[in-house]
Amino acid sequence: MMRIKFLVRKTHKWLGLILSVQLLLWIVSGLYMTAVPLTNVHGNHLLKADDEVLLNQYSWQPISQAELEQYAPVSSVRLTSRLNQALYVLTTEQGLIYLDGETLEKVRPLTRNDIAMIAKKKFAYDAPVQSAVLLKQYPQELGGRNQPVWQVNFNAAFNASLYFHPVTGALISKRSDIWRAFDFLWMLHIMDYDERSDVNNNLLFLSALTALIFVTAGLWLLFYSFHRRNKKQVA
Amino acid sequence: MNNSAQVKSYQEKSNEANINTVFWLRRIHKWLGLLLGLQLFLWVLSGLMFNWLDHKEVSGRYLLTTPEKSSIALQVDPTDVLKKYPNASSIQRVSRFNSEWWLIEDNNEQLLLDVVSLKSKRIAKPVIESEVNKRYPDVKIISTNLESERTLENRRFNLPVWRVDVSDEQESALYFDQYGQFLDIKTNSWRLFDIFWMLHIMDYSGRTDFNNALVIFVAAGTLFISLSGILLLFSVFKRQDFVLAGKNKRVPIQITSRNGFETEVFVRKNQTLIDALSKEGFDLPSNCGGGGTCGLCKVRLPQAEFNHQSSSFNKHQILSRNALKDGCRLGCQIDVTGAMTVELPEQVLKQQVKQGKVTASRFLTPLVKEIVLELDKGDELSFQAGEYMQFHCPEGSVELSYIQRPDFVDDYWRDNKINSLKGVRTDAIKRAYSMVDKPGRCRELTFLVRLEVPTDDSNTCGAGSSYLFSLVPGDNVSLSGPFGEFYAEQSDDEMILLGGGVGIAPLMSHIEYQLHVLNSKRKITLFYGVRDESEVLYLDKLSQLVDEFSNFQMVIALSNAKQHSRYAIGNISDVARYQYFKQHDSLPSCQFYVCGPPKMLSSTLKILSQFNVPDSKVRFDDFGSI
Ligand code: FES
Repeated sequence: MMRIKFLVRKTHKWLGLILSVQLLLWIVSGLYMTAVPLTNVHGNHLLKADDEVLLNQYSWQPISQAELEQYAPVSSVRLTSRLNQALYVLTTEQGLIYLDGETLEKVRPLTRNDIAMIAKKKFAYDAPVQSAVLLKQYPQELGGRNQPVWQVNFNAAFNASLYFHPVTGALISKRSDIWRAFDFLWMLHIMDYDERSDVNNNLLFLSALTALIFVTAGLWLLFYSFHRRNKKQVA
Repeated sequence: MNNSAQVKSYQEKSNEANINTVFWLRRIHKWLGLLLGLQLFLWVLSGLMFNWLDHKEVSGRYLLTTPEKSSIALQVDPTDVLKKYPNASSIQRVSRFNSEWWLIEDNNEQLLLDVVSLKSKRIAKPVIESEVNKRYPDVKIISTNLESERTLENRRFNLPVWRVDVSDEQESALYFDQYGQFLDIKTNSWRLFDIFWMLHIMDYSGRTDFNNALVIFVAAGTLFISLSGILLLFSVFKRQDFVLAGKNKRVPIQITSRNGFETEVFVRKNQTLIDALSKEGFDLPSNCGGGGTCGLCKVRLPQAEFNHQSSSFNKHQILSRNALKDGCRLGCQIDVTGAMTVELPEQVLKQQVKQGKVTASRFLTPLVKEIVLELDKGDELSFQAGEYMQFHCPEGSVELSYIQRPDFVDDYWRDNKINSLKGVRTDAIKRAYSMVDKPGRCRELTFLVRLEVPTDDSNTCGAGSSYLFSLVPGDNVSLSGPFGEFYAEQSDDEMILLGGGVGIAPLMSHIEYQLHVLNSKRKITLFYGVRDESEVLYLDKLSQLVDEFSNFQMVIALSNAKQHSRYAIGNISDVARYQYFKQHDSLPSCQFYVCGPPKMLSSTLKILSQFNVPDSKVRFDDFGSI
């Protein structure tokens, strides 16, 4: 009986020593992830409510069968808009193709000024654009896809960044330090220090298994801690 | 006092602060553990499950093939559509189910329009099923339903939604929106994952909101478990834990206490428990220096067995049979031979080391001195009536002839050859003395010290008492405590106190506590025995109390009276017996406190048992006279 208690205590004590830092990190990161509202992490507060864009206000030409043929096979065609013009987006085997709604010519990417203007309009805070950079590829915080993207940085709302499509000017994503902290803590939480996404890694397995033994031993010890010794008074 | 004593006292002080912090940390750790431990367990368990379940299998998409995209070939002219749906925010031409469609978004609603009629079309069951066959070949469809009720499984989709159950190992269900767009596949792995997800984020109804108040609250609570645990690491790990070589020769001692304190120390084998504990900072009180005669070093061994025939109990005979039965033993008489568990009195863990200066030292009788000391600036001692302190007496010696004394003492000393006595302390020792003062928080403490003189013709006197006799105002002293079990019980029953000689000290404290602090109306009777009239201590004070409080009475007895006296004559126990106990009609319900020299103590205890006073009603203090 005593031996077991001894062993359990020892287990709890030693595993506690080994795991202490990670346990604290799990709890602290968990606390952050639960206490900070997810919508703020996603950065929904960074954007103004959209004023509705009515496609009706722009003019366009139909795309004829022959026109389609040029890009065949086309799996879908979408009518959208950028700045003040209608735009067709064709999904083809070579990727997306953007055509001017009126001329049906391929459109050119937007300029820095265009992007900065769009960003300024979207951003909910009254702050000037600090920098706008055309990245050749999605940055790590966007998932690293091999595609160009405009990054517009603000010096407000925890270093907010808005990401825009280089051709359509559509908002791709938004990040701020609230998200970046979440992402960092998530990395600590799942213990995948390079990809930050692999929940099935061995290090986590080992730690969680040890932690399970540790916590079980701790619960076991509770039984002893609250076990009343009968108080006999010795005269 | 020298420097090393100073240094030691600082260490002991910080040690004491440490023990208090550890108490609190332990309390926080275990109560929060009780409250939230189960959730902590569930978090770790579910976390482990997330890790163990392959996320590919959970997502289930690996089961499906991507259907070939069909292409559009008809002319694309949005004019008519926009005429019909002028507010459309998105218009798309797509190819599905072997024909072309407009997929539009209008007022946040998706519509699938026939390209010719521009009418919204719902997809029929066979179309959905053929889509399933395309995406998940070689599997049998069990059922296909259009769900318009929320379920846990379809919680992320817009309703209505098509659910197609298929017969595979995972009991998968495929979901399509009402226009035949594939949404997701849910597998048994996902369902299991989802249960653990619910437990992990503590959202038991919706399973999606991990910003709920409960989980935040519990996480904050566990933060305290974890922090207190980490701080506790500093106290539970001892240097020996990390010394692999030393560990073999050492054995662990588990130390516990009634207040829940627990720790483990590693000590060398083959030494006495009192020594082993003292090296680890747990000082047991002791008056006899490990001789097995003072009984102060009492500890409890919860696992000890009681076998009254065993001769090994001789060493512990100073303890009562009941105490032995309960597992109590003398720390100085136990050898550490292997791992063991020891329960220490709370006072041992909480003891403080105090420094003070002697402010007064006066002779009350030729052999009794009253010593008053003041604790160092800002320091106080809080203690209960009947408690004692241990004086730290450094190594050294005292020639009694050097001690300053008034004439009446000098005469006595010369007549009794006390002048030539010497007290020698070959080692630092500790001696216990009870506080005379009214209990509470005190800066000033008063003690009675009786000089221990030899009964044979040796020329050495008590090592501890001679040290205390030699103290003069301005001397520094250090002492630790408080200790003791000589407590008064809260009750209205009559309190009968029997004291002999300087045994009056803790009784004074008890009397003052009852009368002046508790304002108790209970009856209090003091029997106070000394040899002759000149030895009556605190007579003025006691008489004053008798006058002032009608519930307090006192009988003084002289054992050595040569002439007639206003006091009773005889041993105090006999006087009490014939003058009081015999006439008393409810003696067994009184509470007794006895303190005096060993002889007086044993005869008193014997008489009390003759009057059928149960053991539990009797408290005694058997060192007061040393
Ligand atoms: S120290 Fe005195 S009996 Fe143990």
